[in-house]
Amino acid sequence: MSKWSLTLTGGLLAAGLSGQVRILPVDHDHRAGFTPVSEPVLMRNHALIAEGAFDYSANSLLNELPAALWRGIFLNRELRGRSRDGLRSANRLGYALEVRLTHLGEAQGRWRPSLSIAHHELLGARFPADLYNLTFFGNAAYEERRADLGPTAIMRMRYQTIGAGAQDTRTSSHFRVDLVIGQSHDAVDIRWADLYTGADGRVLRARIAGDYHRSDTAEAALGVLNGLGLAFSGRWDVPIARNPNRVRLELEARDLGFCAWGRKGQRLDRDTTLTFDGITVDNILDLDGTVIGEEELLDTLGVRFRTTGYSTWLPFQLIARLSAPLGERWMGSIALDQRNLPGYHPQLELSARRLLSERAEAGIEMRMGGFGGLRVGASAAIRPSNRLLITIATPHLPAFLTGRTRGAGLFINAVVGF
Amino acid sequence: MEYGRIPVVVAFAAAVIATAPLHSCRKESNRPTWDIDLLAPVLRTTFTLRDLVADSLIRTDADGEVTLVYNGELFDVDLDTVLTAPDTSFFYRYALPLPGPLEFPPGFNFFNQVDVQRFDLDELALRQLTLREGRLELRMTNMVATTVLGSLAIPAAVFPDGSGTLSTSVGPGTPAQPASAVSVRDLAGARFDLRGPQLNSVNTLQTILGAQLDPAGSGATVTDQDSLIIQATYAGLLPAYARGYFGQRTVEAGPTSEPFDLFEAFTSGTLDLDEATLKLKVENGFGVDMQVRMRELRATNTRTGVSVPLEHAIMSGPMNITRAVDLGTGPAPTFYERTLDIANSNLLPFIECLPDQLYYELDIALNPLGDISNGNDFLYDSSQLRASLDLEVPLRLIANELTLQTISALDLPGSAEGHALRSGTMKLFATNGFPLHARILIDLVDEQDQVVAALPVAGAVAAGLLGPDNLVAQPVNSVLTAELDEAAVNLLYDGARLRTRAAFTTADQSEHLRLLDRYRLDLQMTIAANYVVNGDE
Repeated sequence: MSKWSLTLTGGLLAAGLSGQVRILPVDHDHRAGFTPVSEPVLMRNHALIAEGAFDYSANSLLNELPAALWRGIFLNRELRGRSRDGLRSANRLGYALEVRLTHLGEAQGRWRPSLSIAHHELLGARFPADLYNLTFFGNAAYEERRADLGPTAIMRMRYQTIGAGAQDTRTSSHFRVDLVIGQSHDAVDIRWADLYTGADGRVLRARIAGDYHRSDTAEAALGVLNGLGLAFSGRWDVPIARNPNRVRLELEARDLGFCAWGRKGQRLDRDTTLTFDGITVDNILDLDGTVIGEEELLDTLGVRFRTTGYSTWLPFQLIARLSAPLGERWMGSIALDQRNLPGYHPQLELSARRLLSERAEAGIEMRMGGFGGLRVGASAAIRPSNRLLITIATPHLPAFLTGRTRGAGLFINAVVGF
Repeated sequence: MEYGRIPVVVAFAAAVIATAPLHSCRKESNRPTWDIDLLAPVLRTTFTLRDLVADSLIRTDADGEVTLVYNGELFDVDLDTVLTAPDTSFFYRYALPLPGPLEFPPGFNFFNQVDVQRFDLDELALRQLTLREGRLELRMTNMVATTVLGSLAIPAAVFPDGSGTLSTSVGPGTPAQPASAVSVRDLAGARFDLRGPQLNSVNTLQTILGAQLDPAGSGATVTDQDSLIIQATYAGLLPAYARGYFGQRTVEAGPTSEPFDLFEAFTSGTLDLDEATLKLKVENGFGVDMQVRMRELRATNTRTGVSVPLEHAIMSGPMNITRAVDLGTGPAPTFYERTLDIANSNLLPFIECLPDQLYYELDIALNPLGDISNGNDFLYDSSQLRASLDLEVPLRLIANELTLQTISALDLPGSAEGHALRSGTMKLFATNGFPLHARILIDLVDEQDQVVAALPVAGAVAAGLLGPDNLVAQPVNSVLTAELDEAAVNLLYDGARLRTRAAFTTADQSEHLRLLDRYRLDLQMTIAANYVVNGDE
C-alpha cells in the first residue's frame, strides 16, 4: 500500500467531529447577510440528513504508527522511534466516530420536528512517555531504572442513540432528547504507577494505584444492550440585543447525559506494590511440573474483576461559538469546545467559509487543542440541485500528504430535501 | 512452562492501553507485530539434598550431617513357591451290570459309592488344608429317562456353612441325548482333613457319592446302555493355611534384576565414599527350615555398563534360616540379618559404581535337614520369605564430575509457525552453599534423547568457601550465561527438549567432605529476550 493510499485510508475513516463542520441543521446565516449553499435544501418541507464523521488526533504519535497498527504489519524500530522522538511528558490521543441519520419534518409553527438515530464510538487517552517506550521497546532499557507509567487514563465508549427533538426555523437553536443504548465501555484510571526493573532483570517491582471499569464482556457487538441512559443535545442561538456587526453567539451541548452499565459490569481496584523475582519452582529437577498458566498468573497478580453495576457520564461535548460575516461572501467564526474524555484539552477553532458560487462554498479551519496540537483543515460543500447537498471536510489536511503528522479525519454529509 | 509471561503481561498491558484506539476498529485477522527487548526474572528455586533424595531416605544427626538410608527389597518368595495345588478332577461312572431292561421305581437309589481320592501334590504331604479361594464343581451327565438327584459328601471337609455335602439334579436323558447339570460350591473358608478315613495318610480325602431317581418322578426303565457319569473337580485352590510336610527340595529365585533408584538422577562421573553399611535382612514366615545360598549379587550401572559383584562371606556359604512359629492365627516370622561394611566386603566399589540395578541369583533349600517337624510344616497365605537391603551411606564424599541430569519438555506459548520469543540471553545467578562446584551443560535433545543443539554456558557455579573444619563457611555467588539464539528457539518450538546437566566436583579432591542438611544452592534465572508482541499463534 502506498503512502498516499495509506493516508487516504486513514483520512476516509477520520473526519472532524468537534463542532467545526456546521451542517446541522438549518443554518440561518443569511440573517447575518451570508446565505449558505445549504439553505435551499434545508428549507424544503422535509430533509433527510446522513452523515459520518471520524476524527483522530494525537499530540505526539505520528499518524504512521496507528496506520501501521491498523494495517497489521510489523512495526520496525525506525517507525516506532520517530513517534518516540516526539513524545512529551504527557501524551494524548483519541478519536470520535459518529454515524448519524436525521429527519427534519415539516415546520409546525416556529419549530421543525426532528428524529435521529446515531452510532457513537469515542476514545480518549493520556499517558506518559515511559508507557509508550515500555510498550514499543520493552523494559530492557529501564534496567536499574524506574519507568513511570502514570498518571494514565483511557476511556472508550460505544453506544447508540435514538432521539427526538425540534429545530427552530428562525435561529440555529435546536434540542433533542436521546435514549442511550450502551454497547460497551472500558475506563482505566491509573493515578500513579511505575515499574522498576532490577539489574539483570532479577526483580520487577510495580506500584500501581488505579481502577478499571468495564461493561459486561460476554457480548459487545453492535446493538447489544449492556447499558441504558439518557442524553440531551441542544444549541442555543443566544440573542444579542445590539448587534451592528451581526455577530452570532451559540452555546451547544452534545450528548450531555449518562449511561448505567448494568449489574454485570466489572470493576477492578488496585492500590498495591507487586514484586516479581521469578516463578518459584519447588524442585529444579522437576521442571515439567512447573506450568504457570495465564489464570495462575492473574491470581498471583491479583488481577480479578468483581461484578458490580455502575454509571458513567457520556463523553459529552460543550461548545461555545462566536461567528460573524466578514463581507458579502465570507463568514468567520471562533469556537471553543471541550469533551468529557481523558486527554482532551479545550480546543480553540478558527474558521472561515467563502461562497464560491450560489451552489458551492469552501472553508478553511485551524484548530489548537483537543487531543492534539495545531491542525489545519478544510471543508467544501456543493449543491448539485435544490434537493441535494453534499459536504466533505477534513480537520487536518496534512494527513492526506504525509504519515508523519499527527491527526487525521474526514467528514462526509449528504442532505436530501423533499 | 510459560516462563517470561510476567514481562509479557506488563508489555501487553501497556500495549493495550497505547494501541486501544486501533483495536476498536482494526482488522482482527491481521494483528500488528513489533519486537521489544524484555528483561525479566524467569524462575527461582532453592536446591537442597532433599530435592535430590526423598526425605524418607535422609537421616540427619545432631551435627546436621546427612546419611542416606535406603531400604529396598531384594527378593520375595511367596506361598506359590512352596505350595501349589493343581486343579484336580475325579470321575465316577455307573452303568447297569445287566442287559436289562429293569424297572426302577421313583426314589430308587441308583447307586451309593464310598471312595477315597488322593491328590497328587508331588513332594508335599499335606495333612490339613484351609482354603482362601477355590471351588468344587459337581458335573452330572444322565442317560436315564427320569430326573436323577446326585450328591457328593466329603466327611473330612467342613464347608463355611457347616455342611460337607454338595448336591445336584439332572433331568431325564437318553444314551443318544444325555442331559447334564453342574453344581458349583465356593470353597473359600473350607477346611479339609487330608489324612484319609483312617487318619493315617496324607493328601487323601474320602468321598461318598450317591444317585437317586427323582422320588417325585415316575421311575425309569433302565438298560445297560443307560449310564450316569459324575465328575467332581477341585479348581483354583489357594490355601489360607496348610500343614504337613513340604518336602526336601530346592527352589531357585532369579536370575533377575531389581531396580535400584538411589542414584538414578546421576548419569556419569565418579563418587568416592568414605563409609557405607549394608544390612541384608531375611524374614521367614513359613513354618519350614530354609537354607539360602546366594549364587550372585551384582550392582550394575546400565548407563556406564559397569558391573560390580558383591564379595562377602554370604556369597560363599549358606544362610540358615529357621522356621516360623505357628501362632494359630498367623505365623511369627523368624529373622536373619547380616551386616556388610567396608571391612568385610567390597561394599564401597559396589555402591560407587552408581548402580541402577541389582542382579541376583539364589537357591532356597526347603527342609535341608528333612522332616524334622514330623509333618508339622505349615504356611499361611500371608507367609513369605522376604529379603531386604538396608543401605546406609554417610554423605562424606569426593565427587568428580558427578553429573546430575534432567530433561524438561517446555510448555512454551505460541507455536512452531509463530512464536513471540525470538532469542535471548539467559542468566543464572547462583548462591552456592555446597562444597561442590558445578559445571552446567545445556543441550537440546530430540525425542530419542539425541543432541540436536548445544547451548554454550559461560561460567560455572563456584563451590562454597570451606572453613578449617572442612565445612562450608560462606556461600559463594556466581553468574552463568547462556545464549539462546533464534535457531535454538526454533528448535524448542519444533519439539526439542531441554537437557540440563550439572557436573558436581567437590572443592577438595584429597579429602572426603561432609554434606550437611543445611547446605543449599539458591538459583535465580533471568532472561533478556527479544520478544515480538502478538507473535504467538
